[in-house]
Amino acid sequence: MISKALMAASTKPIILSILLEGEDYGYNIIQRVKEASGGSLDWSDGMLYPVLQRMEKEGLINSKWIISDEGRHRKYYTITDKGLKELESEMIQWRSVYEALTRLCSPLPAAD
Amino acid sequence: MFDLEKAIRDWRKNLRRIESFEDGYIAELESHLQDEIDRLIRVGLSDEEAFKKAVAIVGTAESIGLEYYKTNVRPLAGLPSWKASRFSLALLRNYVKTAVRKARYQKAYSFINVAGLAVGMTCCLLLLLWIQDELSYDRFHVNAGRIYRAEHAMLREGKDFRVASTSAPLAPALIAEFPEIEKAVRIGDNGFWVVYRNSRFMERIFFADPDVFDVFSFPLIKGNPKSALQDPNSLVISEEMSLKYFDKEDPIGKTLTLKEWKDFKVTGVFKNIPRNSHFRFDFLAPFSTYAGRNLNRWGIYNYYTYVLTGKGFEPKSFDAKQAVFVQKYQGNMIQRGINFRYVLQPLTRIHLYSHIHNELESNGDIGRIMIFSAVALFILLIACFNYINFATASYAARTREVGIRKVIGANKKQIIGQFLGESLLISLLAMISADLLAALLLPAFNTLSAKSMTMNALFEARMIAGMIALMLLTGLLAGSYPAAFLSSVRSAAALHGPGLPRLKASALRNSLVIAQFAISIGFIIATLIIASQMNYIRNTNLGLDKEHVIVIPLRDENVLKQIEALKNELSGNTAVVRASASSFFPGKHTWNQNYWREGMSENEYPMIRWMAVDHDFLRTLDIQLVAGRDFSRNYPSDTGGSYILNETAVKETGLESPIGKQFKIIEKGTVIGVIKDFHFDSFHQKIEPLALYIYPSGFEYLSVRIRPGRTAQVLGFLKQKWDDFAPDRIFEYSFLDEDIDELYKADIRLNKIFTSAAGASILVASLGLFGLAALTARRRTKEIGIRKVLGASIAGITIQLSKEFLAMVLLANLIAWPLAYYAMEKWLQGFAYRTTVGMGTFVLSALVAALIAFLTVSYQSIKTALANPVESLRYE
Repeated sequence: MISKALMAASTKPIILSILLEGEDYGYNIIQRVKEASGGSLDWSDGMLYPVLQRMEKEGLINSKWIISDEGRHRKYYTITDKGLKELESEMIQWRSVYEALTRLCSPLPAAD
Repeated sequence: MFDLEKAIRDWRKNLRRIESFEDGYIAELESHLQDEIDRLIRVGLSDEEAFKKAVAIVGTAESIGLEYYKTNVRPLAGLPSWKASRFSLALLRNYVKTAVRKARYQKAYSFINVAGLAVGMTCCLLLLLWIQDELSYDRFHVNAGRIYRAEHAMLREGKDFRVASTSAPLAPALIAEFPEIEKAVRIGDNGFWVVYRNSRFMERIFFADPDVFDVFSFPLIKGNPKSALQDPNSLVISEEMSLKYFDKEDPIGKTLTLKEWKDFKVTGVFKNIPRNSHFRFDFLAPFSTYAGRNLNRWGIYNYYTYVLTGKGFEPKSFDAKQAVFVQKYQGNMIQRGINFRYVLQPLTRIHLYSHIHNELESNGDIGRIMIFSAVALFILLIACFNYINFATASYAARTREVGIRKVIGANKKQIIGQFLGESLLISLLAMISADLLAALLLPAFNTLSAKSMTMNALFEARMIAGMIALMLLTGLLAGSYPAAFLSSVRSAAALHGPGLPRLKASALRNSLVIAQFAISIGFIIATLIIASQMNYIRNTNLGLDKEHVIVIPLRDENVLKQIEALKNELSGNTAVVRASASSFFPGKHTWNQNYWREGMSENEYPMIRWMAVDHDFLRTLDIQLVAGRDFSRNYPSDTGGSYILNETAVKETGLESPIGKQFKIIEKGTVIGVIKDFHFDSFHQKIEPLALYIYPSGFEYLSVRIRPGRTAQVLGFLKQKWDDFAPDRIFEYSFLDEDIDELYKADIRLNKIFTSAAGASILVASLGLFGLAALTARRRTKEIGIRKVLGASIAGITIQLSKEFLAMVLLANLIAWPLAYYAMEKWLQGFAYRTTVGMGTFVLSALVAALIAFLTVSYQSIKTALANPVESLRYE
């Protein structure tokens, strides 16, 4: 399981990475996170939308309403330029954290 | 059938509770939920299962809201705004601080609030004490709920004539015939001289069957309750009497002599009978010893019968069976055509509800409790109105505070809580003051209510519970409107600036002031009318001269035997004008008996009241003769053979030119005179037909007319003569005018209550008016400044400011008049002779109220009018 703090910190870059591959809507984003993490990143559904809303307010993503084939209203999100920059800086940060950790603690402790 | 659409719709509706969710946000969540549902249905779940599971995954309004809140809001109180706030200690401190600060800034209003509520609460507290005392009567008996008093009732001239006493054979007969009656105890009482060594006192001795200790809970301190009254000469006494006669010695086995009867041996000591018992006694001896020959006489109704019934007894079942019972034991009654029956009166009802003939002691009155309650509640209401009025009138000062609290995040509930808390705080302060006041006023209240309650009663558990209830009631009554009012202030409007929105509370405020004054005026009118009736009673000619007459009860055989000799001795003193022995005593002291007059058939026996008198009766009491002559010693036949009637009797008996006509009550005789009607009973009763008859064995009182200004000297003389004639009996006396006043004890008490109530209510209402006037004056300072600058006179401004309040007081009069008139007419209907309610009373009460209101208001008005306009307009 991923700790609460780490989850909170990683939400933003993960959403941005997913949106890097193209526009998507909330329900699907959750499904893809679940898939990508093999289930260890289990976001609660209610938690995603406030985060999306805040990111939109910060100008990292845009949204639009699209009517799906079944006639359902869906809100699709796309990444903005500002979002791209943000993702870049996030990735640098994550990478440096990751590298520092591996250097300090290698070989990695066996997972039990 | 599960309706998915509807379920989703409901879920969405629920989301709307959370104010931060915008429509788009909700739509997005809904589409998410539907996706989830679609997926689950694809997996193979039913609509309902899919919906339930999806909601579990996506979340309810509550959990989604919480997530939203966590991400978006940095909370102050740590809770989202839609959740009811937790009780916060930090806020409580702030509330108290605000309340205290407000109280300090507005000392006068706080004082008026606390003082007003305290006065109202004091009235309620005293009333509670009184009610508790009244309701507690006879409940200390373990079997209280199963004890009944057997009474008898007869239908007489269409009226139910109920008597508390019964005859001695009733008790054993009841036990024999009614299995549901477990025990029956007879009680009788009489006065005796009790002699022990050198001490000798007149005492009221009670007699009871030995079962008395099983039926009632009169615990014995010494002696065995099973055997204490078995011996015919046994006597059980109270703790108090044990001390009185034997001091610290052990009373058991000692002999007390009931003078001119027999010796009794003390076999037990019981705890003093509690005050809240409908009968109390100090001596108890065996009933059979006392009743003697009357034990088997059905016709002597001198005793009281109390029965202990089995559990689950229904008095109705007794009523159903008693016809057979009466037929069996008192068939002669039925033969004579008398509608006779027994009534079982529950013990616990006797004190408050029983007012029948031959009560052992005079009882309380439920009606009086009602009047007291209404009065106390009215005063409390007036005080609560004050609180409401100040709170709404000074709302301007508080709206900003409410606005700021709301902006910071307080919700309506918290604001309501804060203001209710404030009113509860005030009501707590008032309660504490009321306790002190009540303790202070208790002695005065005791005289007013004829009780002897002690301070301890204030600290009984039930009383404390009552106080807390009263405090909460007052706090809520006074605080709920202001709380609702202030909590509904819109923060934007409140914080907008100096131009506060006008709230429409003044209509309510005015109606409350009108109600306060209407109540006060009602009390004033009641007081005036009662006083006027009392005046009427005092000043109306009674038909006899009640001043300077001393009344001596003749409860002594020796004196009765030598009554003429005593009268002669008395007339030797120049300070004594005349003396007369008779059965006359103001109140219900006449006998009611059948009479016959000339021209009536022998079997016609209407009733007439009569008194036993002597030759000097009319002259001693200054009763006027209108026809015929007075009794005279010159006519030997006057003793036993002559009657004097009053005018009403002449009218009712139908005797035309009555003098010389044959008449009979005791012996056949002639009517020798007619007297002017005089009031021998209270003004509540119409003067009834009355006959006077010379009948020495009926003498009960000696009326002595004395010369004014020599009372003390005459009393000494009377006592000395009395002791000569009756060395064994204490000299007792009273004054006729005071005895007559005694008849109006209840009315006088009512007068006092209403005077106090009128005082208290006017005090509280005026306090309120004073505060309101101050608030109004303050609100209009600028307006008045401008008026003055433009040339308004001080008088003009004073009138301007007072006029509004005076108008309210006048309106209050219009409300109070008809109500008070109606209520007081009802009260006056209880008098056969009554004053007329004139317009003057109403006008006077209006003037009094208006004057008080004007004085209260004008202080503020004049102060404002005198203020220098420069002061008030400087900052504009």
